[in-house]
Amino acid sequence: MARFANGKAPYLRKADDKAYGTAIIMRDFLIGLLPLILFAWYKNGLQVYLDGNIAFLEMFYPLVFIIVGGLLSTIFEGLFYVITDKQVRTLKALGTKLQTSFAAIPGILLAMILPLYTPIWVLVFGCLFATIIGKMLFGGFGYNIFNPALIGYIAIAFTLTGVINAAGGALNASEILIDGIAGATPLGTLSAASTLNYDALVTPYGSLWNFFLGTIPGALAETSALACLIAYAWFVFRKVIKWYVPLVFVGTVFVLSWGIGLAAGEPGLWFPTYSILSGGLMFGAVFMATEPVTTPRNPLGKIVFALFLGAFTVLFRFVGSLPEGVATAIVFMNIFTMPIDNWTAIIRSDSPIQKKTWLRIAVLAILFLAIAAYGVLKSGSDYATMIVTSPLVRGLF
Amino acid sequence: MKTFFRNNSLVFGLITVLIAVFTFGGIFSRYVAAEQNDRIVAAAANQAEAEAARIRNETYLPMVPGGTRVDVYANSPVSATYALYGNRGDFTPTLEASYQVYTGDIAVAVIYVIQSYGKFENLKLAFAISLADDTVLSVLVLSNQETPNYFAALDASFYAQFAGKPLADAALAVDAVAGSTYSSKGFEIGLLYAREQYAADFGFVIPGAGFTLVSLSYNFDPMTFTDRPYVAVIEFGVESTIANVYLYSDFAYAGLVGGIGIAPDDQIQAAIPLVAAASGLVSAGVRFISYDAGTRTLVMTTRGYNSLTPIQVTFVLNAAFDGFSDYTISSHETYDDADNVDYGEPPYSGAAVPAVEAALIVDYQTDGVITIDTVAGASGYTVPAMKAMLQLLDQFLSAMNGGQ
Repeated sequence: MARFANGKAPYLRKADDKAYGTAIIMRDFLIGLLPLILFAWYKNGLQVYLDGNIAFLEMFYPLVFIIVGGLLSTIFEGLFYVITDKQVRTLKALGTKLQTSFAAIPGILLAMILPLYTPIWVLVFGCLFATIIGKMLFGGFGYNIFNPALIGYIAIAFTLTGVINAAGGALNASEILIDGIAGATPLGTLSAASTLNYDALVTPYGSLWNFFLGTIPGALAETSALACLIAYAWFVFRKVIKWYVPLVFVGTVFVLSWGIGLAAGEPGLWFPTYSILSGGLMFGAVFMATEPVTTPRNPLGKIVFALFLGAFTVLFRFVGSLPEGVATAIVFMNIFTMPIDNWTAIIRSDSPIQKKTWLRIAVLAILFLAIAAYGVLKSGSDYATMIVTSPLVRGLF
Repeated sequence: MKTFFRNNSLVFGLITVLIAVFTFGGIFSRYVAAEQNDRIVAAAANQAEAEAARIRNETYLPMVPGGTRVDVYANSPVSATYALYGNRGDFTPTLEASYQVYTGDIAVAVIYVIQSYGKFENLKLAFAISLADDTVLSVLVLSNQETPNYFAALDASFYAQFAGKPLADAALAVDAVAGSTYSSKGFEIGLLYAREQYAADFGFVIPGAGFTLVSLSYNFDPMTFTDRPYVAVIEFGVESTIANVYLYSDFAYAGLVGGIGIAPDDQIQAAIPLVAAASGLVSAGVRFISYDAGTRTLVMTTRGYNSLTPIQVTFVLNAAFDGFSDYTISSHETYDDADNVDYGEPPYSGAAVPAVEAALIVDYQTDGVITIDTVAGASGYTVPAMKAMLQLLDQFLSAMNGGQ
């Protein structure tokens, strides 16, 4: 007899429980964001002010930017409800609706993953995309198939990156004074590098310890792996997320990056460590890949989802032209949430496992291995061309 | 209308809030972006200056032993013109940059980057001069477009002659290297100009020649003009001694004319080449080679495009010394002397070498004057060289027939 896909019986409805409702989950989620928001303010505001590189008023800009993001997405969602839903035409009804749909979350998350000097009109554009296209057009909270914040992020990344760079980009006022950084984030440096070299990739930013702490150039609030780990511990403790999803995602990127290093003749563990501490991987793994609405529901599905996320992140980051592959990978994998849920549910419930199920497992495994192998060999050969010596194999790459 | 606004008050309210948030955020964003932009511009300028300082130090510090820092030195460029070899007229070098070199906080040397003369453009040289004893410390070639194999002939011994050379040396001559005479001249002109600039910047007094050049002309005496092509009259000493002296082809002192008079001292003799060359009174590119009185055959050379092999013309003068009856030309006026077909420059469309030389000789032979202004494709070197030769021939004929 087949088991239920989403866990073992018996099931208790806890959503209405005051200690375990959606509101509690979202409250815990916002608490989890706090270390990152505070670190973003410390790194890009307080510390820079204490260094004497910005004025007092500028010190608060990181916080204002995040708050404005939250306000904008709330307003857009409110407007959408008022215009499209006759039931929501009073302030009280609108307030109730916005409270239960957690309207501010996409804007807050979007602001956190954008560069500090993103113009406000770009943030408006991103919040509009995130809230209206990414969330409300699919039916609102609970019905969206893509992560709304990432939809806004990708809309900006594909169209307005030049505008952001022209307005000041990601480096804060202290970071622009460091000669070795030369205006680039770690992944920006990596995308321009032809070899994997510690001195070229890590030394300009100090050491890997700085990567862990987050005192390196990057998006407003996603640079600190430490803050992400604190949030991760909080979420696990509060059972907001499944502990293994970020672990599998980050672990996959670590292993595949190590493989790239080995293929390129750089066996040191510094490179996979650098890889997982760079960009928005930690942030994406903890806050985006675990998002309950847009990711698979059953445990095996979550693992498969995270595995493919890791493979696609490596593929987009190292083989593709995008310096940051996490957002694209997550949005791309959001498309496959339902098929993964279905397939993995069958695999989980199919006991004893039938021949057809083995086929599904094999297809998933082959797909994963093919993507991973291609990513490793291709990017490995980009950094050290000697690994692909056969003309036939070289032709494939 | 009132009903419309009442029914849609929430929409207008939200739009108002949106505008307020956008306006507030926009103003704040513009403010921080403008501030950041100013900081980025300033940081870029600082980084550019740091990079320029690094390149300065890397390039020029090795020129000054013990130097620890090179800073830009602000000054006003002086203007000076120097006579060139052959029939090539004058050259005015330009000052590209000036630097001071410090040891700690003490300025120990100055470096002048000078665009000097070369066979081709862009012979850029840097001269380091010690502030302590007014001597040249070193010279550095920053760029050149000289003929590579000729320029390579300037070996270590050539460069070594600059180290320790005192600016107080009136002549400040540079020993030229055979085959690289133009480049060598470029170094000499650069060095002389560096001294002019140094004198203007640091109050250095350029030593006088110790004599006055009263006149300088060609030597028309066939017995001596081959190896002593010039004669000069100089005045020197407290008693204003006048001396007629011979000069070699490089304007070096070659003795008293007829061995009569008081010879100038060594210091004056050393200064004569610089003063004579700078005077522009004669062309160093045109010379008498030989004269056979029996056959009245005069051989002359003049330097044109080919710096190694000058144009040689043998004239058979007529008995009245008012012209010549015959001539033969030997010319190698193409660049590499391998394909002596024409003058090698696209504007030239006439016959092969030595058509231009012959045309000018015939022009002069016709009525004793040169009416051809120039020839396209040979205007830079061949035509001026031939004109100089024919003018000297004219003077020789005049000297031979008593000034007629």
